[in-house]
Amino acid sequence: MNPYEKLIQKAKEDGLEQTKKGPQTLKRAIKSSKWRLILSTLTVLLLIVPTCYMMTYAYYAFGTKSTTLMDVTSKTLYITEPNTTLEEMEFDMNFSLFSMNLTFEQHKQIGDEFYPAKDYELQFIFNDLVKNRTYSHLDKIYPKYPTETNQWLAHPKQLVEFNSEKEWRVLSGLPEETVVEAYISLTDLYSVDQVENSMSNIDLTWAAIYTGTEETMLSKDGDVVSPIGYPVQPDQTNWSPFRDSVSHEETFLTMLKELKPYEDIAVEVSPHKNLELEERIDYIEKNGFKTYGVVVTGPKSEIEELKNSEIVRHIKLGEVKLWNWQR
Amino acid sequence: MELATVKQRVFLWMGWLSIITGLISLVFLNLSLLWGLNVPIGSNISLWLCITLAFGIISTINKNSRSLGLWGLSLGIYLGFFLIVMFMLSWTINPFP
Repeated sequence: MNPYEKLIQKAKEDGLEQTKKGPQTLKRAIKSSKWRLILSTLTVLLLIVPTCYMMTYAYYAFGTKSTTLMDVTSKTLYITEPNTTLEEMEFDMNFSLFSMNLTFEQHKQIGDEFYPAKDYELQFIFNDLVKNRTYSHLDKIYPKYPTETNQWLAHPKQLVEFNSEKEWRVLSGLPEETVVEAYISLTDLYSVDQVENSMSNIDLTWAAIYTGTEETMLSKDGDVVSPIGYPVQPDQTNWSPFRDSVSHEETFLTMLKELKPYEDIAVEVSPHKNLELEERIDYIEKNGFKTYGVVVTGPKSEIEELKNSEIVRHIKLGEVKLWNWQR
Repeated sequence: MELATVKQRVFLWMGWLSIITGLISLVFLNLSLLWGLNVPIGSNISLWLCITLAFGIISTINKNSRSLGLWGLSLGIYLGFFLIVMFMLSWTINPFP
C-alpha cells in the first residue's frame, strides 16, 4: 500500500469513528444547552431582588433621604403634639423592598418624670407614608380628628367642647400626693415669658403659638387647623431639635420653614390634618410669638392654684401620676 | 482517556461549579432579603464569593470553558459589588449604630 492509499484509508477510518461518536456529541450538546438556558433564566430572576434593594438604598441615600423623612417626622411631632418628646435610643429604622419602616416611642413629662405616651409604627413606600399605627399608653387621648371646637387649648375668642368647671372639680378631688398635666387656655394673648413668670412652682412644658387662624381654627381656605407650638423647657437630649437652642421661638420658626417643603409628609405623619404652614409662617414673621394656651405639669395643689390666676380661662386635665416631684 | 480531554473536562466542571456556587449564594441572598431569614450562608458569603471567583478565573483559562468561567466570574463580581454598595449605603441612610 503506497502512502497515498494509506492516507485515504486513515481518513476513512477517522470518518467512521466520527460518525459513531456523532449522536453522543449531539446529545451532550443538547444537554449542555438545556442547562445553560435553565441557569441563565435563574440568574436573571435571582438578580432582580438584590438590584431592587440596591435601588431602594440608593433612593434613601440620594433621593428623599431617610434622615430627612426621620427629621420631618420628629419635628412634626414636636410642634403638633403638646408636651411630647422623642427618645433617640428608642428610634428604630428598617429598610425592605422599596420601603422604610420607622418605629419609635414618644414620651410625656408628667410631674418631674417622663412617661411613655405613644408607640409609633410608620411605613414609607419611597416617600409616601402608607402605614401610620400608633399605640397609646395614655388615659386621656387628645382628640384624634380635629374640629373647630374640640381642641383642648383654645383661643380667648374660641369656644370649647369640654366643661372647665367640671375639670376644676375633678382636679380638686385628686389626692394631694399626685402630679398632674393640664392644658390651660388663656384669657388673652401673652408672651411665653409672661405666662412662665405668672406660673411659679410648676413646669410650663409646651406653648401653643397664635398664628392668625386660632380664633376660628380655620385657615384662609376654610380648612380646620390644629394648634402648633413648641416645648418651653430646655431639652438637652441628643435627639431634640431644641438641644442647645438659644431661643426656642426662633428654633420653632426655623423648624416650620424646614418642614414647609415637606408639608405633605408632615400632614400624613401628624394626627392634625392641616398645617397650612405658609400662611402661619407669614403671620408669625409679621406679628411675632404670642401664646393663647399652654401645657403645664406639677403638683396637684400648685395646678389648683391656677384657678385664681387672672390669665387662666379654661383648664383641661391630662395625665395624672403618683407623686414624683423632687423640688 | 487522553490528558487533554481530562484537562478540558476539569475546566468545564470548574466553570459549572463557579456558576452553581454563585447561584446558590444568590438564592440565599434573595431568601434573606425577602424573608429576613438568617441563612447560614449569610455569615460566610465572602467565602462563597471567593470560591465563585476562584473557579471562575481558573475556568476562563481554557478556551472551551471560558464562557462558563466568565458567567461565574460575573456572578461573583455582582455579589461583591452588591456587598460593597449595600455596606456603603447602609452607613449613609441609617444614622444609628
